[in-house]
Amino acid sequence: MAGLEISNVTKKYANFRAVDDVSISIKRGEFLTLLGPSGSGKTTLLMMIAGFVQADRGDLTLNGQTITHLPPEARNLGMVFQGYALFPHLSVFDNVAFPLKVRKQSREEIATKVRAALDLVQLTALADRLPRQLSGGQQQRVALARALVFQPHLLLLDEPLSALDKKLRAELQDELKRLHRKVGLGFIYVTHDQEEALSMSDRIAVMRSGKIVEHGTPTDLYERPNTAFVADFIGKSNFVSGSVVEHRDGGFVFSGGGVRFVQRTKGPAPAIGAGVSIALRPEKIGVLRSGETAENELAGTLTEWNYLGSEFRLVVDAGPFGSFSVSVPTWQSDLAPEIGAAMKLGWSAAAGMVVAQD
Amino acid sequence: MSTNGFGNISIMTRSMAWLIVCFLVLPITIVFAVSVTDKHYLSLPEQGISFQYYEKLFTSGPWMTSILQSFVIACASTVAAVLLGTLCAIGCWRLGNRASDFVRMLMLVPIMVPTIVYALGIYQFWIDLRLLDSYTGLIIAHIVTGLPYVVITVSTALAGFDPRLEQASLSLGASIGQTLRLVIIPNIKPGVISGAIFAFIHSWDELVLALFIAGRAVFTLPRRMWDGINESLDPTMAAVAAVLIAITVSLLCTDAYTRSRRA
Ligand SMILES: Nc1ncnc2c1ncn2[C@@H]1O[C@H](COP(=O)(O)OP(=O)(O)OP(=O)(O)O)[C@@H](O)[C@H]1O
Ligand SMILES: [Mg+2]
Repeated sequence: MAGLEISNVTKKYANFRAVDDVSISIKRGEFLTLLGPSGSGKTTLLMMIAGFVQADRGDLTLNGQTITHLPPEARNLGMVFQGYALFPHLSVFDNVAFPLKVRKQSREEIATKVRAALDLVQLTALADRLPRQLSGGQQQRVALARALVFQPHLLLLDEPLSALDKKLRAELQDELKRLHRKVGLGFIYVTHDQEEALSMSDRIAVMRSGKIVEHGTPTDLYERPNTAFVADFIGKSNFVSGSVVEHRDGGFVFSGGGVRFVQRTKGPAPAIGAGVSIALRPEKIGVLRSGETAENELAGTLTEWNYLGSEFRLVVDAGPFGSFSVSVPTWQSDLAPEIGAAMKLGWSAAAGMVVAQD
Repeated sequence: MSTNGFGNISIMTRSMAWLIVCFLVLPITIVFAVSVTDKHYLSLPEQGISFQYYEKLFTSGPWMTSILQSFVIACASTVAAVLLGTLCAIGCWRLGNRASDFVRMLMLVPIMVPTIVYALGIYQFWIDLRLLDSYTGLIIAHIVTGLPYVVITVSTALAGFDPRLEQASLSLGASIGQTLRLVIIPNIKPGVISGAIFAFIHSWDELVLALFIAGRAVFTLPRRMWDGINESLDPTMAAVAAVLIAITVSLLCTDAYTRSRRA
């Protein structure tokens, strides 16, 4: 198979499992993001792929060949480090030429390839500068060119944009995507920024305490998360739980805190009496005007609000159901929020997402 | 005169500082003054300046032989100390565990133990190994005692070296040898150069070991000065001292220069 296959890898530090029985594969040309909170084991997993950390158990297979015990320099994987790790004593040109020089390629060959790589990241004009004479974004591009110039099997990136300001980040995200389409390599991208993960990836693997909790396309994970953790980590979610009381065509009714809620499902509904949790996105909850009704309704009082230009971000205290975060687009609302005001929240049966509690 | 109290304090600290500088530098300047004396004994010049003792020094066979011997021994022991010390420091840095801290401590023993004790120990050894009064014997002794300087300066340089650069190099396909040669060494060069300079100076003006384990065939410059001072108070000594100081100072300036260029 062309691509990387990770099977059951585990890395223990003393008795602590930094990476715990992880299996996932990445196809050639795919953009896979490892997303997770700090300490979830993303870097450790990436370092195992690169060969800097030895797996205690499990196997890595690259294009059909086992690489579990190969040293890093024999794996032919490009890597972009956090903080870039450019060689400070070498010019931009020599940094990019480095992987070719150690492969003993000829001068002419090196010159042509380095030019092409610098062209790719639009840095041809700065070839003679030293890394310290470059801006953060430019250093980032040099690191990319250097990691791509020797035609690696795969590119590994560990939070490459985390040191940059927001605007530059957005710019470089677009550039990375463009680069990814152009070179057609598999990218494994580590981040703890869920927006970045959603906008860039073909597929996201969400990590928590050393395990991959879920993986799928950005829309899969945002619109149909299977776990409460993912529903809350990718985008925000509100949770309502209760137990199933009735089955209906294409859905079920559950009751919690003395209120009945209807929920639609695609698959089979949970058994009567079973406990169930649904996650609700803030933008899928509406504020009902007097006289308006919805399939699900919940009363509460407004405790906080923020005006964000395009939307109002409200926090509504719904008594036993806890706090709800609700976002209402300003263009379709004549909302005049007032703290302490009574409010009725409403959502459709299709809005909720059934998730496993943890 | 400044009226506030702080002004007075700063004047006081300043004069103290200058006093200390004078205390450190004056004896050295006197050596230079004495070296150009017109008298026949160690004294300050009276009627005029004369370079006769420099002339004497550079035309005297024994002095020149000693200078040459000292130079050869210092060069040889510096090269070896730099090689071994750098590799040792890099090895400890790569391991980065308790054992390597211990090794680093052990490397400092030659500085911590009084040289005279060390010299006695080496003397005993060299008798058995038949290394007394030989180039090899003195060079090895100077390698061992010069090693700590290299280990210290290179370890300091490595503390400021980003270990991700090593990982980057490996991930780009460089072998460990290539990484050492193309990435690690160039980035810790100022530390290696400092270590080399200190090791050189150490050997160049080392007297105690030279007294114990050499004496006839090998007669280093500090050794000849020692004998000269004991036997006759010939002003040539001052000229030798001046040359010695000039070389040491120029080496230290080179060191300061390589550091400042780095910063
Ligand atoms: N060399 C090590 N020795 C002991 N524990 C380690 C070591 N390296 C990592 N860990 C632990 O393993 C866990 C996972 O670390 P890792 O660096 O992979 O997290 P991460 O997901 O990359 O986090 P971040 O987003 O903060 O970079 C952490 O709890 C960390 O403390
Ligand atoms: Mg990390």
